[in-house]
Amino acid sequence: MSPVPLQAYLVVAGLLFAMGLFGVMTRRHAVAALLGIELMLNAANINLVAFSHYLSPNRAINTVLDGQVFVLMVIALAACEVAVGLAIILRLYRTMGVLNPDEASSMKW
Amino acid sequence: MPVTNLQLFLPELLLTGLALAVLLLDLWLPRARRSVLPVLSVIGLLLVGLAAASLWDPQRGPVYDFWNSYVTDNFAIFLKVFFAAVGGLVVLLSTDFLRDVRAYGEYWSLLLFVLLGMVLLAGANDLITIYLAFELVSLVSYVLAGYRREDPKSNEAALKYFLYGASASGVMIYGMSLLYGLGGSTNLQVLGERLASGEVTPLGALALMLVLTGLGYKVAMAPFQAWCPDVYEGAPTPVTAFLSVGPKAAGFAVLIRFALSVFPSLLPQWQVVVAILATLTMFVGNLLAIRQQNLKRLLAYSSIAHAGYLLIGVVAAGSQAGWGLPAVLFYLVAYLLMNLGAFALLLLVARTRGTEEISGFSGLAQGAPFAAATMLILLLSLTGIPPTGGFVGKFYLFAAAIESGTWWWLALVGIINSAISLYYYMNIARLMYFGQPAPELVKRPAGLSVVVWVALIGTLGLGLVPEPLMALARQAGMLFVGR
Amino acid sequence: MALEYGPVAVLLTFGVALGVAAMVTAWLLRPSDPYAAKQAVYECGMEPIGPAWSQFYARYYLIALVFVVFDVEAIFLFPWAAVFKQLSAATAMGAVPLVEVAVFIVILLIGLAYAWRKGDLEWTR
Repeated sequence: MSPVPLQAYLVVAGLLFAMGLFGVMTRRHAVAALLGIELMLNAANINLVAFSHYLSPNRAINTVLDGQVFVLMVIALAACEVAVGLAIILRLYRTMGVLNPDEASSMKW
Repeated sequence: MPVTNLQLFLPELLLTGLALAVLLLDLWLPRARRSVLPVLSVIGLLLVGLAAASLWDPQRGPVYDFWNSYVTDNFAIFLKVFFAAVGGLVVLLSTDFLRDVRAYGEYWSLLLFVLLGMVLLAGANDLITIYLAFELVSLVSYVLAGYRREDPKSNEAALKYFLYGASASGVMIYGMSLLYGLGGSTNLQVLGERLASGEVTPLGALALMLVLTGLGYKVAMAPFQAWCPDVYEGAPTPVTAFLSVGPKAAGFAVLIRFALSVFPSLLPQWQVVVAILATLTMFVGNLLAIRQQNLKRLLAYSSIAHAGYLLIGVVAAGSQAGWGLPAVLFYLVAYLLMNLGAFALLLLVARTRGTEEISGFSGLAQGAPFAAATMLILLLSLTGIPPTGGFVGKFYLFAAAIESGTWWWLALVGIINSAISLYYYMNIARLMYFGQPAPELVKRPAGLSVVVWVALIGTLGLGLVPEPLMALARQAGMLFVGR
Repeated sequence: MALEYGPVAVLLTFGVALGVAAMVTAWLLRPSDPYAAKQAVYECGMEPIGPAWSQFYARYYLIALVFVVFDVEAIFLFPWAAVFKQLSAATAMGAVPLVEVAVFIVILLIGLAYAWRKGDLEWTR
């Protein structure tokens, strides 16, 4: 079997990113928005790994490793982001009893 | 090359050590002795600033380190000293506010960690480093915005900041992944060279837009400014003061380095985009500020407008780096002084009168003439009227726009906007001098007084003798001249 | 090129077809006799009590968060371990990679100490 072309990865990543962005912008629930953000980050991860593979002259071994290092960083930061995000959401739930950023609106213009 | 010499990395190491030390001290010091933490932080930040300043060398070009992922140049050093100053002033602003907050010590270490992120952003020269430092600044800022844990408003501010900020960084990282694919490297210079050799592809333009979006959120550039007023209003006031200058300046640092290193080939295109966004940002900030009754919210919109003025300098830097960059750096310093001063006075007034509305300043001139006079000078500076730092800063920014040729009309937009801003700034002055008299300010915490004095002297000083700072800013901006 | 994905397509077709066929056959063969008990949620034979959105013990959440962060930080150690031998042979001072990772771990440990001292690792308090 011939290898999967680069475009395939890019299309998957693009779709994933679009889904994530759509989720963030349309979902009213804070946790759902958080999920959308994770999708966006992982779309970038797919891109990075795919590029890292296709940029290497000899595809048997990946030599242009920047992309893979980048992915590790993104994964770690995504975990931190979730931790901070969930903590904030939980706090808001305890003080206001809502999980919806629109309902939690004491401030206007 | 891995690490050539750690000496250049001294400010960062000191700051990391300081942040960790404060974190640990908070855990083991008895509650009564924890008031040493802010003192320690200020002294530490002073040392960090001195360490950074000692690296200043007008003759030296950029020194790349850690496999070229980190650069020490005068631009970065200027900003590092600036950030140390931001940190010191914000610590002084916060001491009083924190008396009545339960979790005490964490605040200082969190603040130091954001500062570390900002310092790292100033020198980041690689997509990975930029992303890491950017997230360090963002994640900790979210926590700081929600620091008043029992206050629903503070929590709401944190959630909004988080959702907007995290989506923005998601968009930015996707753009970065495309850039990596196009240039085959994460190093800014290598990317710049490789992108310059090929023609402009739609994908390259898309990557540029995505990265610009992410940075645009951070500096509260229109149309990505929606989070800004709510976050500024809800966050604890010292944190708001910090957010309005610190992360914003760091965002500008990255924006400039990014634009000038990676996209020389796309220069005309991004200049058009940023110029349009700058115009939009100024108008949105100033027009929406007019109807604000809450001073924190007003200052939030005003900070959006000031981001717009700074963007003029960024656009101008694209054509005339020798004019644009020093102007941006100078204005950042002037804005730090006048804005933190205004926030310090807001804290003083809110402490006595228990309100953050503009009406709290009513009749201040009778009860506290000195505070009112200081506020008046800071407001004049924010508007851009001589003899203040704000005036000189704006003068340099607009001069840079005119000097760049094509972008002269941005100066005109800036002047129109300054005229609009005159209305709402002077409204506060009118209240202070002609409003209903109110009792004088009883308590004046030492930290706040120091900030007010520094802001007053600094603002007037920059207005009367701008040349020394401008000379330094020119040397810091030298780096990108000739690109 | 398209042919190389043939097996995938065949598998996909058969997989979907089998599932649909099973459901259609069952639907054709079974008698239709709905009553209330059939609509109830089946949970190990017990009658379900209350909604599934019940409160969990809040400690789970804190410990889970601490776990997630430390768990993910561990991924940085794997690449380091994989190249450790080459790395210490390449640099003049063999201990440098070890010191570097020690710095990383010490910073993580400070985080752990923080969670510990704040009482976030206690099960009950």
